[in-house]
Amino acid sequence: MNILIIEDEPALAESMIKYLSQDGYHCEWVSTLNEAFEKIHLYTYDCLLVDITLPGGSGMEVVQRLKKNKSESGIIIISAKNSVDDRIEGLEIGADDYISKPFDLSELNARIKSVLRRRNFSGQNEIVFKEIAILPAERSVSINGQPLSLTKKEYDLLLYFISNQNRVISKSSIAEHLWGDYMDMADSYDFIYAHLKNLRKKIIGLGGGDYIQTVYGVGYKFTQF
Amino acid sequence: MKLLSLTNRYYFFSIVIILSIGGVFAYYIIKNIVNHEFNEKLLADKEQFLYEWHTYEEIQEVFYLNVGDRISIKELPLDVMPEMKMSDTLMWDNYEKRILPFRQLRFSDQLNGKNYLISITKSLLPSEDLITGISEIILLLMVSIIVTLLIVNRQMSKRIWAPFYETIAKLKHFKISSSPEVRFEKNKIYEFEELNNEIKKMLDKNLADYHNLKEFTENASHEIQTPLAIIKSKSEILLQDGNLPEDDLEEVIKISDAANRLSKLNTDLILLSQMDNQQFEDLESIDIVDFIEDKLTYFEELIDLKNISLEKHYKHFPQLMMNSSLAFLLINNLLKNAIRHNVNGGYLSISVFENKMIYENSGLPSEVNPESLFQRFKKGNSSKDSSGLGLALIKKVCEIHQMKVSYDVHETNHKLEIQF
Repeated sequence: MNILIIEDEPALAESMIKYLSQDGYHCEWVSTLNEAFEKIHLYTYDCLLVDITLPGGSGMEVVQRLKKNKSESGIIIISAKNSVDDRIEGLEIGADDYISKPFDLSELNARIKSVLRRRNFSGQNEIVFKEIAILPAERSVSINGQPLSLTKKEYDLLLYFISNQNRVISKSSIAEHLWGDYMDMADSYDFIYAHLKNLRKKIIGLGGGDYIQTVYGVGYKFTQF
Repeated sequence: MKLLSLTNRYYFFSIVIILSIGGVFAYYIIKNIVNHEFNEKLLADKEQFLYEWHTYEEIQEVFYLNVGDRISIKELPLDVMPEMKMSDTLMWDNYEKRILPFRQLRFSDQLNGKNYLISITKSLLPSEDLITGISEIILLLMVSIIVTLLIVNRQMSKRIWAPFYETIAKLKHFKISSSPEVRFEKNKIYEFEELNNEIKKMLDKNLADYHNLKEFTENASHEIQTPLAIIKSKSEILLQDGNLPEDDLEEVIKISDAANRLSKLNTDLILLSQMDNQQFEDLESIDIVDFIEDKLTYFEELIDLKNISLEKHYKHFPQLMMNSSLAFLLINNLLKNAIRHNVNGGYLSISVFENKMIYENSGLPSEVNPESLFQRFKKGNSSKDSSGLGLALIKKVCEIHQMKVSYDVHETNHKLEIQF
């Protein structure tokens, strides 16, 4: 999978490349609008991460150019402005998703995977992690072929973990993913624990393994090792 | 009071005063002229009389005098010869049948060795007639001048002042957040042109300042969020480093959490300043009960997990004209507050009436004056991580929509009331 990162802040781009490369993505990075035009002219990417405020213009122009060329690439807009207008404009001109700074890399990773799944119509649509199989289109999960009934939050949590497997995920990142604006971070940590406990119980109940590790004081890690 | 009525009032008073003074002067001047004329006439009569008196035997045959003039001739003792004297007297007038003013000339003369006192009397124009005449003229003048002034002023206000009223109308409709550049028509009146120019300069300056400020807030947000994104991403990379001891990972998480808080704070402050700049002016009709119900679904599980019993009393279903983003902010913050500061196994009661809604919830007794929590960065006792902006945001949203918000704490009962 090829990802083009259009971001003018080298330190941030570097973190993104580092995090995403571990998932086997091939990342390229440009920091100006002109370089971005050049790259999308020459190559095809599976997904583009576009910062809106760039030296030389708005990242929206890249999105427009891609849409004009009927590009199949997934596009995620990254903006420092958490403004409703920007979000609406970005999605209207054809971006697949919008994420505002500062974001969690685990959240970005999950969004990229979701966009790629939606873009990849022809391919295999099932996510498999050992005995756990998820069909995102139907929001259904099965373990060893047996259907697993999950609440919405439990499902979101499981998908988030599997998207970021083998990574340490902080509680705040989980809280932001599950509740967003509706909940303040610190309040929700107990609730995360309650959801996790239920999720773990349900998976083990159907004969699945216990993959959720607690990293004390930090967060959780979903791993088969 | 309108400028026109005020100027009219001044004009009116000055015309009355000037014409009254003018009337008094006219009276004395005319009277003076008349007296002077009578004196001349009396003296001429005297010459004529003396000439006839000395020339003819029988003066009645030829004596030539005006109608109404009277002449009396009295014999005087030999040694008395009074000086000539001109005077005003009142006498009975046979024609008018009333007492009228007369001018009298008295002089003495000698004829055939005898002394005579002769007086010639002329009927004067009565001063009350004079006053009446002058008053009539002055009154007529006053009325015609005032009427003319009123008409002229009305026309003036219609034509000359028109651009001025137009300028005022434009200023009335001007809103800094939504108006485009204001344009004034070219004006041939120097003062209005000057006024328009100055207003335009001021408005343009304000608009530019406003846009600069808006841009600055947005840029500031951008500039702050980007380094925060770097801090967060770098701490997340560190978390993935398997070689770090757990203690260090905890430190990293604290850095990341602090960055989160700063970012939230930044977002809230930008929101407050955007509200100060009136950047949320699109209103729509919102069924507030529907809105609350919708937002409650997002909090359901939190309510369950905290074991809060939820009571809803919807007595009315008011439609409120609100900005939808701000309505979201308001209801979300109200519910978040009521749940976050609640105790385990507590309660939350939401009541909606025709003109108010009330959120009552259990919590800890407050140590500070609850009203003071509406100030920015003022925190109650229980929340270590709260930004202190939640209630300030609630208050600001209420202010923008002309709602009244009050906060009361009785022991453990927290009551937030919003009147609309």
